[in-house]
Amino acid sequence: MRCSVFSSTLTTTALFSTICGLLVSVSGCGGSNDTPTTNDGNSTDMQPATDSVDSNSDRPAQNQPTEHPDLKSPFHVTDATPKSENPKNQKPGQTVGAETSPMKSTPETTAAETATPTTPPPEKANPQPSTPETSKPAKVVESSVQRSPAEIDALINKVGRTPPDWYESTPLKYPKTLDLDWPQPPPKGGWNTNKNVGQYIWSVINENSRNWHSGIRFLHHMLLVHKDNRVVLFRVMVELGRMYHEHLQDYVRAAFWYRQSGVARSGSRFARQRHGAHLAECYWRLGNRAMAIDFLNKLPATYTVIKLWGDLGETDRSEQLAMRAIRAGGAPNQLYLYIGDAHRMAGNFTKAISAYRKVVAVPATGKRKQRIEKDHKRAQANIAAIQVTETLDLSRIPNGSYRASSLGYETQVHVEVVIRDGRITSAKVTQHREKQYYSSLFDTPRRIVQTQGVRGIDTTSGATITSEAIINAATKALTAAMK
Amino acid sequence: MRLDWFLPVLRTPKAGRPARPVSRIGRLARRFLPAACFSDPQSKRRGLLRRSLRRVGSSWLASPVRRISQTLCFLTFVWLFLYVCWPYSAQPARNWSGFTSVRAEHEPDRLLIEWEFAPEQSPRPGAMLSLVSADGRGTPTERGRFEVDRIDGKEITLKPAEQISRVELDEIALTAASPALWEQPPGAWPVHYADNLSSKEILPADFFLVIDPLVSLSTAIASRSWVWSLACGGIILLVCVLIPRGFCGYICPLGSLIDLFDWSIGSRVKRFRVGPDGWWVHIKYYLLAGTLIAAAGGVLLTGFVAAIPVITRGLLFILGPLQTGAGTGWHQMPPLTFGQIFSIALFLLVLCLGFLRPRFWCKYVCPSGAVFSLGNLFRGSERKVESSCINCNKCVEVCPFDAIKPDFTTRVTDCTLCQTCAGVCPTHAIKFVDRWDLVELKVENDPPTNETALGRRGFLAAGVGTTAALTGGVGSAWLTSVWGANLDDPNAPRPVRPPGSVPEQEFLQMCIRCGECFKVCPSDVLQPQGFGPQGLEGLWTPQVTPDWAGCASSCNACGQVCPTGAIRALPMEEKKVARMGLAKVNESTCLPFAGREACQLCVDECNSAGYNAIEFTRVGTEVDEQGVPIEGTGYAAPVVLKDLCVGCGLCQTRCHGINVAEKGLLEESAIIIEAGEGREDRLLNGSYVALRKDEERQRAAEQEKQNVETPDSYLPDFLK
Repeated sequence: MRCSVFSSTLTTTALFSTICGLLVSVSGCGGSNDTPTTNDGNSTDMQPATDSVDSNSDRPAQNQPTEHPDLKSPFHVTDATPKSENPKNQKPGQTVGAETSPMKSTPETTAAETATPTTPPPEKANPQPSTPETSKPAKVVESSVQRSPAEIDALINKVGRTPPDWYESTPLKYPKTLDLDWPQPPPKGGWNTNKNVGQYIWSVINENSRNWHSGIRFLHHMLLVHKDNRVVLFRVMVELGRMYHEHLQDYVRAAFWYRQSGVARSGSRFARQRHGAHLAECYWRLGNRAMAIDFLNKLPATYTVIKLWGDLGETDRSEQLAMRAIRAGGAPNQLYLYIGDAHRMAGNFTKAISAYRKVVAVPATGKRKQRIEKDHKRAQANIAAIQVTETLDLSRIPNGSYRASSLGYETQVHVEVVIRDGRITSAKVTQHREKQYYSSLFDTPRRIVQTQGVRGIDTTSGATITSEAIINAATKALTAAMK
Repeated sequence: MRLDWFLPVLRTPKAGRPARPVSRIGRLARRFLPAACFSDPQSKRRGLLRRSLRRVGSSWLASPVRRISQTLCFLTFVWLFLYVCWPYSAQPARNWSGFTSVRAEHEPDRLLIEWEFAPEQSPRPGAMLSLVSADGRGTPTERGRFEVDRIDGKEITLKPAEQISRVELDEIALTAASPALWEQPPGAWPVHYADNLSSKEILPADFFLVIDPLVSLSTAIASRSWVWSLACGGIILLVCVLIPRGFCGYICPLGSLIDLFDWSIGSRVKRFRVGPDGWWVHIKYYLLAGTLIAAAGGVLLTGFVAAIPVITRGLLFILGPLQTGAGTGWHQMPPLTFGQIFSIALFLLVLCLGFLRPRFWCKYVCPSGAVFSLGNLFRGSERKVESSCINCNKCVEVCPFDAIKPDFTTRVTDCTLCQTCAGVCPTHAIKFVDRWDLVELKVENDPPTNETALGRRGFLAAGVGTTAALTGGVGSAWLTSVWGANLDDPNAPRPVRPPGSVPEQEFLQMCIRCGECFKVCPSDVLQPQGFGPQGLEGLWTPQVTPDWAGCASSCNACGQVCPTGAIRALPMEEKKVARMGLAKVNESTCLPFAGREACQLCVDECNSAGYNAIEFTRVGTEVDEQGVPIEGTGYAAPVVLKDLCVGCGLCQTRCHGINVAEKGLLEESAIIIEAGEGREDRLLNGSYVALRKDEERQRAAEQEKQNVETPDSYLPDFLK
């Protein structure tokens, strides 16, 4: 076997905005290369959003989002313990995947189950002794679950205040050398993951899935440490929201902490720019698309917002905003990718291909050369996959299991798809080197089995590249297998 | 009491005398065996058994029981060595999937599960399997343990391992999504190497080692502790009260191998032959004394000369690599070191002593034999010669142990009661009876033996020998202190020992250097130290060589076969947390640390072994003026978690195999297992699991201290 010669450059789209989001909380400064236009207000730690495309011209009406009344309610649930099954440790490089379950009698999603917190959580019958800590993300929202805004608000307020079931058994641990004051920007002296909280979170917690639970535990500890310091509290809450969201797909608690951080409240434009799209996505995943769109409408068109529009199926809106952002100086490689992704998801393959071709046409020069080169590769892989998607006919594939790979965030993601009688009976990631973006490793294969195909699968939030790599690899495997 | 095993019952009767069975056994034999087996006194035609035994060899005819016992013991030894200690027959737990339907059946309660295509290798009937199905998130979950009842073509009938209600059974049948049959429940720690050894160990793999009394005796003296195999040594010594030195004559595989060598090679070369008498005849006692003196001085040298370690090591270093090479591929054969070649040379020397006299080693040199010789002083039975002796000298010529004096009486400390002499005695004058049986003995010293109880030369020889033993024992103890492990020096190199090894001082005193652990170790993680950093004291002791291979997570074999307890026989739960060392990342060479390229070989290896003891941290990430990391800088680098790393060395194997050997990127592995104080658990007794729990409690307490200022709560007060 060869050693992975993977680039660890921080690339592309949602991933990058994720990271940038964290980096901002690391640094308190939106000094990322990725800001397409100059933003106003670059004072203090409340810096403009990294991924703000155009913070002035394109912002919809300034009316503030509705304050959710029960946010301030003293209502506190103590007896409800939402179930989220003890997540199993999943190792990178190990097979993960989804298989068809003919008897899906119970809603097995976290969100669906948290909806009925009165049911006592069934203890996991057979805890696995050899799987010490976390990390298989509990996934989530079936599109079939619909909730009214009031239900969602109630859910967020009730469940958001209760600890997840793994919380008690997760010990609080962090290096003694860590500077809990979390000064921003971090002190001079370079990168130090044992001292600077932001760098510790970014590296030690995010990149090691088994630290995700204890990372959240640590952030809750930070909440108490800084209970009187609003500036640090904000950072902690946003981080909590992000971790619940991206690592655990616990949209209820994610939404709770995004809201607490002030994303939904008035007077915090920065917060809305940075994390508004995340909160909107939580609403959507929790079962109310209208609520998500409503909230999204109030947000400035940041990269994440543009991407979410596409994921929501509002292709035209997404494209329109993206084009405007390109004209305003946004990164074309990235924005055309969004357009391509949106069209691809909607099934407009011709438009998707033409958008991806524009990505390839962006010259790879300047400071962000590496990044653009990677986007080229992604766009090309997507074009190749789309071109064969049309011809895909499951009934022409003989029974058997088929493998292929496609470039993910770090290296090739290998996928195995099993076909039986013209049906996809299982899809699995057999080998990968992805670090932070595990959620898609389970979610996307499951979606492939669910939709019995590789078309119109929305990518997992925060893990677009990995998701797309899985879809591309599955497409490759299946089309190559056709008779 | 008579112990006649040379089968006088088969003898040709004297002409003219009536055929009279000599014993009750003989009468029984005549009744049940066909007459053709026995000699016919009229025609003087020898019986079938006698004729066939004669064809096999004259010593087989003279004492068939002894030869058969030797053969069986030798074959058992070889079987233990080549088959039981062969780790590569272990198979990882298998899974079967691809089932199309599951249905329940009642009276009796059975689960019928059907394949779409029956695979080549289906589970065996009677196998215990887990029925596993995918839960909502696609995670394999155990639904129950089942026994394979029957396999009909594509259909398998499963019997619940435990009593299970009908409703439960129906529910399993209804809700098992993507059913699969797993040999081990999901998430269980793999144990196939351990299981493989224990299933093959009908007889303990170290059986012959533990019944070599010198092994346990000297280990106990050297380590000043009770060694469990002392009991086995004691038992064999008790048996040898009844059959004096019977171990040497009937059991010892080294003796049998020497017999084979002498018969096939030794007997053809006469030029090196020496006489029956000489200064060498008592070497074994002095060697025994020397090794015991050294043991009393805390240095265990017995393994270099004791019978069973000698043959085990000899076969190990000669046959072991050949078997590994032929069985698994020649690239799997570890390179020979000087220490091993030295051992092979010594072993060949032991065999070549057969050129001097047959079984020269056993008669004159073997200190294990000396233990039995001394044990013979307490013998309960012995060889006696009756007055019917006709001084024909046949017995003296045939005796393999030079145990018959010129007057045909017995050298009681040398006689192994092999009874070959009785088998060739034409007058039935030789009897094997209890010590106090006063048969009609022949006159002693007739013909004269010219032997004195203790003559001047004998006294001198004994004096010289004792002095040699003393100086040898004390000298070797001194030599090892000069050219040894130097344990008092904290900076002295510490080899990584097998999991469950006792503390180093005791380890060196208890390890008999038999090599059994090397043989049983899959992929040769354990290899013998040569004249390495621990000099003479560490010679042939096992050390983990992670550059070659890492310790398999599913194996605990080395401790199971250790005859002296230098490596404790740990159950799997203990072994998997017993630390043999600690991985250390060399931050100046590790590819990500050095900023050369991304690499996560060690992390992947550690995770797939199930230890999860290496995690990532970002290094070399450059930050701009505001502290924002610059895109494209830095790598995810490995960090070893001290509390989880057991030092198995898999990471080092991987780094060495890829980055050093295959790609040539590094001079040596960038992650190295280090042993030494604080990096390994070296317990004489007690549980490693308990140790880990204690540590965990301690860490929790420390963290508690660290957290004491802020009360712990999920929500801060203002959100409640």
